[in-house]
Amino acid sequence: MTPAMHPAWPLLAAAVLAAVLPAGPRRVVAVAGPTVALALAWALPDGGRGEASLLGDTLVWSRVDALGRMFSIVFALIAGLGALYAWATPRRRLLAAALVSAAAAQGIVLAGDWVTLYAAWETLALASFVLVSDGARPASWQAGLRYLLVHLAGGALLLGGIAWHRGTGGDALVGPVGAAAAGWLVLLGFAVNAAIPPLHAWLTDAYPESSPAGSVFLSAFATKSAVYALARVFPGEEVLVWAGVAMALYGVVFAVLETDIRRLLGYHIVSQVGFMVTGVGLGSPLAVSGAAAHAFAHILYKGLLFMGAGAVVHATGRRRLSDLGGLGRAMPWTLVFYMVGAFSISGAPLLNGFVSKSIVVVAAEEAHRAPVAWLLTLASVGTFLSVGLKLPWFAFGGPDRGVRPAPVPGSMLVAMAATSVLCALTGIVPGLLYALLPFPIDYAPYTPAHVLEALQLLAGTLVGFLLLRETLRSSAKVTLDFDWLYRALGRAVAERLAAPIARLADAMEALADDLVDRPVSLAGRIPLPIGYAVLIAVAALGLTLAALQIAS
Amino acid sequence: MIRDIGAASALTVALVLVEAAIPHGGHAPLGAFAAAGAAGAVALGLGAKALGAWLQRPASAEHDADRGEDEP
Repeated sequence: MTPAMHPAWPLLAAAVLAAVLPAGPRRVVAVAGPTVALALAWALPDGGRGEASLLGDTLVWSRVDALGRMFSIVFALIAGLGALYAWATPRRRLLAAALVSAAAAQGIVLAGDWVTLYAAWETLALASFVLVSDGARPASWQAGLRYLLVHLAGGALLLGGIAWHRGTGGDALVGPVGAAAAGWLVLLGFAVNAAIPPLHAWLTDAYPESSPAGSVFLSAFATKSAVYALARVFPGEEVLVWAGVAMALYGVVFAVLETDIRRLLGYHIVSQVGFMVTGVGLGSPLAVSGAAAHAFAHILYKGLLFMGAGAVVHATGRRRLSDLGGLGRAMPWTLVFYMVGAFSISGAPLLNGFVSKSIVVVAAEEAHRAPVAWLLTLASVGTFLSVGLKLPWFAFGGPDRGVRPAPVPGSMLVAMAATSVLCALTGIVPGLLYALLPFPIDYAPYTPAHVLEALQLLAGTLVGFLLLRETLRSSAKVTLDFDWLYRALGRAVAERLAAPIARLADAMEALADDLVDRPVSLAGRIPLPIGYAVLIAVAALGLTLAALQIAS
Repeated sequence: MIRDIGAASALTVALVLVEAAIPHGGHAPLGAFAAAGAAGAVALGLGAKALGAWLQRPASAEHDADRGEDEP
């Protein structure tokens, strides 16, 4: 496999072009780059491998199998759809960061060795930070900085785990690490990106602060590349079964409380990723394929939901359910496309969530884990309750609150329509999805029993919602989550450490002044200013590395 | 509101009747998923509201700033 065949390259090239071209051509390359990447991802040869040498080590920058190829395809797909959605708002920083994050996600899912995976992991964190801080509000920058801080900490855990793993003779190729200390560090690093509570607060903090198009890209890459990494490294890890169930329920409970429409959807990322994490934890071929299928479906329908919510924010400038209402008449197509996503995520027949979610639940039943299957079914009820009923009822239905939305740009509607078609296509013809899965499966979702169960669950949830409708009506409230705890702890620590840090800084400054002012004696004879000593040390290090490279 | 609840209940009952009328191969008791949906929605809704009484604060400059938001 040659480097030119890697789907990240057209995305990186498009990012560079998007950063320098004027708005018109910028739009075109932002769509064209992912289109070429999609073609390359589709053509990736099973078993393909790309290698390079770095300082004597072999980097396996690409190793293709069905799992990586499936994620590569759907990442390219959503990058293109997101770029189409952003056609009307082609800001330089937004498109360049989105394309770099798409390229980094490709790097993660095709990485053969740990060094490549880590480099792509951190690139994704940096690009996502730009996407978050690209939101127009002052809070966007603050949320972006918090995002970066959390993800650099997660990256440090991952790096520590990789170093420990390699230092104790572990394989250079990305694969199972085991449950030793190195494994736990790697798992924690992945858990941060997968938003496993209580490490999830960055997600619901950051995604609502991005621009409407930015949140579409953000919803696709970080958590799903973590799901890929978990499936690659920790399949069958028991702790993930219950972590996933906890995520599925935690997300829906907070979504029922939430009033910010994009934060509500953020909580549903936590919940849906919980299904995937559970599938990975169950570890059977059916369960891992279910997790992968659900990731594929989720990237599409969650992208669609964020597109719908983003269209509302774009058209109204409002984001709280308590400020919205009666938009259905003014934004009928947005409502239609949003509901396609809402029914998909709720597992309604003929849409992709119906297929993918039930694979995970059936895998739990086949593993004789009935409580897991029941709890995931309960989470499905909560999903329809909040995403399928509460949000559309109070934003698009309900009393007119005098909001007069601006027209939604045609490109946004086209992107939503295209994503809706994909949600329906992979729901009606599940074979299209099955053909991409890491393990062949023989699961028939359209049995009378399964269809009736799904429809009854949705209808029963509707009855429950109507009974509680006034109770669930949103008022202007803020819900405190773990982010509140982290901020309180951070402030307390900062206050305690402020004085010692100031004293340490003073001491270091005094020491630095002393060193710079006084010549340093090398071997007690040669007077040498400290700056020259540093330069010589760097040059010596460079020469040593070059010699090692030549010798290898 | 009563009309909405009546219509949704009628739809649910109709689905349960369909389940009873056709051989569908399911293992769950008749209407179990409809009951689970309604009971689950009420339990989650009320449970979340109870949690909200503890975790929710009125949107205000103080709380929004605490949350990192800049608007009430």
